[in-house]
Amino acid sequence: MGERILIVEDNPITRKLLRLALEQAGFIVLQAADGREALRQVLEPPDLVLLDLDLPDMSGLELAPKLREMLAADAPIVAFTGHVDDDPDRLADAGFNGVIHKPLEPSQLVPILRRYLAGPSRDENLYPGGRVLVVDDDATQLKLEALLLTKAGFEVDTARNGVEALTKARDFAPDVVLSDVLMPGMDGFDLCLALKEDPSFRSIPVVLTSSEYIDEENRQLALKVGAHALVVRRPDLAHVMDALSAALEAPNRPAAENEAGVHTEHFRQVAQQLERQFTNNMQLARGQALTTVLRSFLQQLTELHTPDVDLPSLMGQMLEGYLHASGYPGGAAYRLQSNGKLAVLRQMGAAHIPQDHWTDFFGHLELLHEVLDGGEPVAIPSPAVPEARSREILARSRKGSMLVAPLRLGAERFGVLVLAAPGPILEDEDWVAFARAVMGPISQTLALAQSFALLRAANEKARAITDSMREAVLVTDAEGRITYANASIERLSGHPARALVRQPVERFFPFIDANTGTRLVELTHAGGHRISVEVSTSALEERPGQLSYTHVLHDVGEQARVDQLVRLASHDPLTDLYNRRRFEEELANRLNEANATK
Amino acid sequence: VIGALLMLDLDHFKPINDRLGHAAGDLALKSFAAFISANSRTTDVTARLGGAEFVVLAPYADAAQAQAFAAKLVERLAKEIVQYNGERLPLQTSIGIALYGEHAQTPDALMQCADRALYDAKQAGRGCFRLYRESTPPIRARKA
Repeated sequence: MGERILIVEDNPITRKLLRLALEQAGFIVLQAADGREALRQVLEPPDLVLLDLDLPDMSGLELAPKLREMLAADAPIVAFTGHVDDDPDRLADAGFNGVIHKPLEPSQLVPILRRYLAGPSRDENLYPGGRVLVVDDDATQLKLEALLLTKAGFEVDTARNGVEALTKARDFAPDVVLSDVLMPGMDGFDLCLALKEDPSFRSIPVVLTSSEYIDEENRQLALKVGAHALVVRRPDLAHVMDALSAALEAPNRPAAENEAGVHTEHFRQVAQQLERQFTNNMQLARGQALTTVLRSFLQQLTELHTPDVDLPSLMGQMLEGYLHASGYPGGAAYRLQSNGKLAVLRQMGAAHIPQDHWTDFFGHLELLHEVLDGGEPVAIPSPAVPEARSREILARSRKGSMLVAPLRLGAERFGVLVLAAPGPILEDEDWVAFARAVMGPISQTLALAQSFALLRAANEKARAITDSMREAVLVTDAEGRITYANASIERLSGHPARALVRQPVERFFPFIDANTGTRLVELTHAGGHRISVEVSTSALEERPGQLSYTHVLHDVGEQARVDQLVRLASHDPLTDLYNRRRFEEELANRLNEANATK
Repeated sequence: VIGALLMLDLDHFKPINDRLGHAAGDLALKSFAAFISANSRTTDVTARLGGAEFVVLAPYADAAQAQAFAAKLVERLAKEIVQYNGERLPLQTSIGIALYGEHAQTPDALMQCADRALYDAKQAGRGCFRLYRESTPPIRARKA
C-alpha cells in the first residue's frame, strides 16, 4: 500500500477519474498533463507510471525511454491508449512494460495495476491465467477467442450455447465465464442469471461481451443480472482479457434481488435490440437494391454469382476463373482485411514459390497497396513501377512478368489480384486493358456478394432473436398491413405466420393500431376461445416520413389477468403510476419511518 | 430535512380535452406520466392523484435539490414533443413543493402544503414552480 503512481494524461477528466479510483485504492497519485511536467514529476521516482500515448508536447513513445532512465529498473511503465493496433514490440522497445486500452472503467484499473506492481513475472505474462469457459454461438468467433485466450495464458473450454455452457460449467469447473450476449435461445443475460441462481455456480464471475449490446443501459442490466462487466467486443480482445483478469480478482457479484424487474428490463432491451436489427436490415436492403442495378453488367459472371457463397471463397473462384480464361495459371489473390492490411487469400499454379514470399509480395507489399489506392491495373515491369523494384520482385518470384489488378468499386476496396507469367507477355498493353475491362465486373460481383452476406447475417441475427422469443412479434406498415410475423405468433393466435403476412392487421388483431405503448387486450384465438394478451407497440421510422410499427404480443394468461386486477387496485389504469390511495399509504409509511428513526 | 413532496399539475389540460377530444387528453396524461417517471430517480415515488394532478415524493431531497428538480422538470417538459393527429400538444406544468420534516409532519398537512404551493405557482402564471411559504396558511377548502 501507499505506492506512488504517476498518471501522465492530458485529458483532465480522465486524469481526475483515474486519480480518484487510485486514491480510493490507497495509492499515492502524482499527475502530469504533458511530457515536460512528467519529466519534472519523475525526479522523485514513482513506483509505476501510467502513460497516455498521445500527449500535447511529445508522444508517449518519445517520453517513455526518458522516463525509463530515471525510474527504478523494476518500476513499470504502462501505456494507456485508445488505439487498439499499437505495435506491442514498438512499445516494448520504447521501455513500456505493458499496455492498457481505453476506455476502461477506473475501478477495473486497480487490480490490473496491482498486478504490474506485484510480481517479477509481469514482463512475460500480463494475464495470470485461470480457467475460462467461453460461450458464443458463432463458431468462428468462438475459435478465435479460444485461441487468443489460450495464447494469453488462460486455460480454455468452449460452449456453443447457454444450455451447453451450464453442462460444461459442471465438468470444466471454470474460474470465470466469458459469454457473448446475443445468442438464440438462452442469451448471455439469461445464462448469467441461470449461473447466479445455481448455488454451485454462484461464485463464478461472468464477463459478458457483445458488439450489439453496447449502451449504458445494457451495461446496467449486465450488472443487475450479476455479471462482472459487459465489454464491447474488439478484435484484439484486450478489453475482454482485462475484464477477465479484473473479474478473477474481484469479489463475486450476486444478481439483483428484484428478479421480476430484471426480467422485464431484459425483455425490453431484447425488444429494443430487435428493432435495431430491423432498421439495420432495411438499410442493407436499400443498399442492396442499388447494387442490384449493376447486376445486368454481370451476365458473363453469373455462374459465380450465387448469394450462398462467402466472400473469400467467391474471390478464390474469381481467381480460378480469371486465370483459366487468361491461360496463365500462376498468381494470387489478396484480400483487404478490416485492419487495412492485404493478406493472401489464395495462391495458385506457382507451387515453387513459398507462401511467405506471397505474404509480403517479395518484399514489396507496399506496391500492392499503391495499386489498390491508384485504382488502375499495373504491369511489372512497366514505367509505372521503379525498375529496381520490378527487378527484385521478378528475380525472387522467378517470373517473367506480372499484372497487378485492384479490386474496388468506388470507395469500397476488396483486394488485389496478381497474375504471374513465365515470360514477358503480361507487360503488354493489351493485357493491361484486358485487366481493366474485367476488374470492374469482378469488383461489382464482390460488392453484391458482400451486401448479400451482410444482409443475410443481419437477417439471421434478427430471425434468431425473434424466433427464440416466447413472445409473438408482428411488424406492420403505415397502411396497417402485416409485413412480418415470427414463429411464436402461431402458438399464441392459432394463425401461422405465413398466413398473416401481407394481410391487414385489423382482420386478425382488431385491437392493434398505431398507438405506441403497452396495453392489455383480449385476443380471439383461431380456435374461437379468447385469451388475455399484453401488446407493446413501438414505432420505427423506416425512412424519412415512413413509419413502421413493431408489436410484441405477450400471453399473460389467467393468473396474469388476476395480477392485473390486483394491480388496478393500487395503480392508475391510464398512466400505470400509483393511484391516490396507494400513494397516501406510501407517504404515511415513509413519514412514520422517518419519525421513528428521529 | 427528510424529503420533498412535489405536486404537479398539467397546465391547459382542459382545453386539450375540449378541443381535441378525450383521446388527445389521455395521450397528454400518459405522456406526462411517462415524462415524470423518466425524469425521477428510482427511489422517488410517483403517482397520479386524479385529473391532471400528479405527485413525486423525493426522499432525502432538501429545498435546493427539490427546486433544482422542479426547475429541470419545467424546463424539460417544454422540450417534449408529443403529437396527436399531427398536432403538437402543448405540454406545460406548474409545480408546488413542500418539505416534510420542515413544512409539515403529517401526510395530510404535507399534501395541503404542496397543494398551496402549487396554487401559488398557478397564480404566478403557470409553467413554473413554487416552494411552500410558511407565512401563507394552507387552504383547506380548495380540494374536495
